[in-house]
Amino acid sequence: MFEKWIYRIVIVLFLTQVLVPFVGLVQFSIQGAGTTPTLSSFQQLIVNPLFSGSLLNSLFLALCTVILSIGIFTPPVWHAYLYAPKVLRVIEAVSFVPFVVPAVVLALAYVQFFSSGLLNLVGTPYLLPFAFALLGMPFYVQVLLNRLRHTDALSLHEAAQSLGATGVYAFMKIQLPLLRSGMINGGLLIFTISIGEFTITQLTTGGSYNTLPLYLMIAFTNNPLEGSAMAVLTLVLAVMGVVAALFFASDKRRRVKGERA
Amino acid sequence: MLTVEHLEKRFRDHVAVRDFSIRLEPGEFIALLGPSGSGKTTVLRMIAGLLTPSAGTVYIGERNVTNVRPKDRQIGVVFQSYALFPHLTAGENIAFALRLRRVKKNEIRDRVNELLGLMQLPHREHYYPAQMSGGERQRVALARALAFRPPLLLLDEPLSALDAKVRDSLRELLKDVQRQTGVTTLMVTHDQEEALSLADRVIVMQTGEIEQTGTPKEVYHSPATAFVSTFIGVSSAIFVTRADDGIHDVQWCGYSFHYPLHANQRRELAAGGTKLYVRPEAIRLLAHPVTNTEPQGVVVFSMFLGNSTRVRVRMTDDTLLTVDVPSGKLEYTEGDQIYIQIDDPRS
Ligand SMILES: Nc1ncnc2c1ncn2[C@@H]1O[C@H](COP(=O)(O)OP(=O)(O)O)[C@@H](O)[C@H]1O
Ligand SMILES: [Mg+2]
Repeated sequence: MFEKWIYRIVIVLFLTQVLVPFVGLVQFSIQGAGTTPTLSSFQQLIVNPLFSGSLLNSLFLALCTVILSIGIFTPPVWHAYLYAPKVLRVIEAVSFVPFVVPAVVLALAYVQFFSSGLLNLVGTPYLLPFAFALLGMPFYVQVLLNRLRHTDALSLHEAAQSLGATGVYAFMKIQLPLLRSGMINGGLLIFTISIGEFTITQLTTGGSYNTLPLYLMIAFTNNPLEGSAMAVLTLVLAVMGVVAALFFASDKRRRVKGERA
Repeated sequence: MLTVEHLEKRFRDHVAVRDFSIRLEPGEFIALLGPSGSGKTTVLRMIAGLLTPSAGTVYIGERNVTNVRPKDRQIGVVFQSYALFPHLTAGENIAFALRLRRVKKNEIRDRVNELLGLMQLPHREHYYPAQMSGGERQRVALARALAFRPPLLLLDEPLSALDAKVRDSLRELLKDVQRQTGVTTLMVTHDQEEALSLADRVIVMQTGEIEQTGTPKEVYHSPATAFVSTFIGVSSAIFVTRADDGIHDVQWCGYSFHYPLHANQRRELAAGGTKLYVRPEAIRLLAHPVTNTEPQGVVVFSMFLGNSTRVRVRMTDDTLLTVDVPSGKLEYTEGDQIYIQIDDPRS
């Protein structure tokens, strides 16, 4: 009995913690400071070209970051996992650096390094995919390693080679399909991080490239109502994205295990 | 067919395999037998090209393949974990090597069907590995390794992950398939029964070195070292000297008998004496001596095992012997005075 009540209290606290800010935002964006509930702030938002522009920018940036991360993180992690456990330990350790170094410090480091000479990239958005990839690295590396640990990757690679495949062919035809769900899950994490990144974007572009978080910031200062409507919209999009991703991933998993008899 | 000379593998300062040399004749089935950690998989991986030897040479036929990539060695390998590609069906797994070799579609189909038939897997072509039992997966792995008709097949503990019933039937299938295809086979195992029942020759390994090479009967009936005698079955060690009657091979407590000896045992015998490792069923118990030279002892322990009774006997010189008495024969109980005879395992 007692345990049951503790359990219920914990659940209620959890839901409160998660839902209160959301409910608050929804209420605020609909009612505003006024009295009659209205959806006009949402309408304003959707027709605002600055909003759709920043949304597109953010989506594009996130997509670039995902592709970049999958491309530059997957092969070395895979190779180190199979053949160089010591290197893997180094990769794992390094991958946690962005986790413990505050984003501000990273951003300043970028500004310092890329503000002159050949690599004068501060003020452009070209650094952002690299910076976001770095932020997402700990998550991506862990997700990929988790996937690798669940497959007998080394034996499969060796089996393919003993059957006559080159290393590259075996990687493309056997390893990549097996790592796909890991790459998708890791890619989604990177995508989410990229969509929401504020500090580095602000500091390295100096606000010259408008992304969703930057717009959100400006909107909140200029027009709190629109800002909160946008926050709600972002949350809804995020939830939809996660649900879709889960659905997608579980479908993939079923297909890999071959449950369609 | 396969010649391995002075193969050695070091992992840092740990020597996993030392001075390993073997020669496989075409069509031969050889078992590499040894306890876990004795270096069997390491040997297999070096032969397959998946691990670079620290020293030594590997020849396939006349060709030195020591520095040839695994994909160019044309060796079929069955991995301990099967290593079936989980996202491919049984049929696609089997066809993998054939597709790589650009074999025509209809030929691939025929070959896959032929192999599925040979492995007694007629309706499993479209199943994924996760949908099959352990025994079925093992057979698909074998079919996949044989698909491109490699002249040499390497098997790493092919049956050890299966339960007893499946293992027995698969053992027979493996022997059948090896005979039918005539593929030269090197199988690694830690299971002495598997090695003795399947192989034409057995190589016993311990801590990276070969202890004994011989036919299953040789290895079983006349172990060359204490390790082989205890690793394969049960045996009693007796210290023998040269028989002084000029007829028999050896003598023990005044009792002369015939027994096959290894080169090193013969050397030791010439120098004074050597240890023999005698199997429990090679020793016979008698209630009364026949020639008055049979050594005498006392039964100190007996245990019924079903088809035989295991008896432990303390001889007058305090040697302990383990003897299996077939059921239905005269029964002995603790405290019985007995005499023993030793049979020549060659007869
Ligand atoms: N990659 C490796 N690195 C270091 N030591 C290894 C490696 N592979 C095998 N060994 C060591 O070599 C010895 C033989 O291993 P293995 O060939 O797998 O034995 P078996 O197959 O007979 O069980 C063991 O002591 C094992 O710990
Ligand atoms: Mg092994």
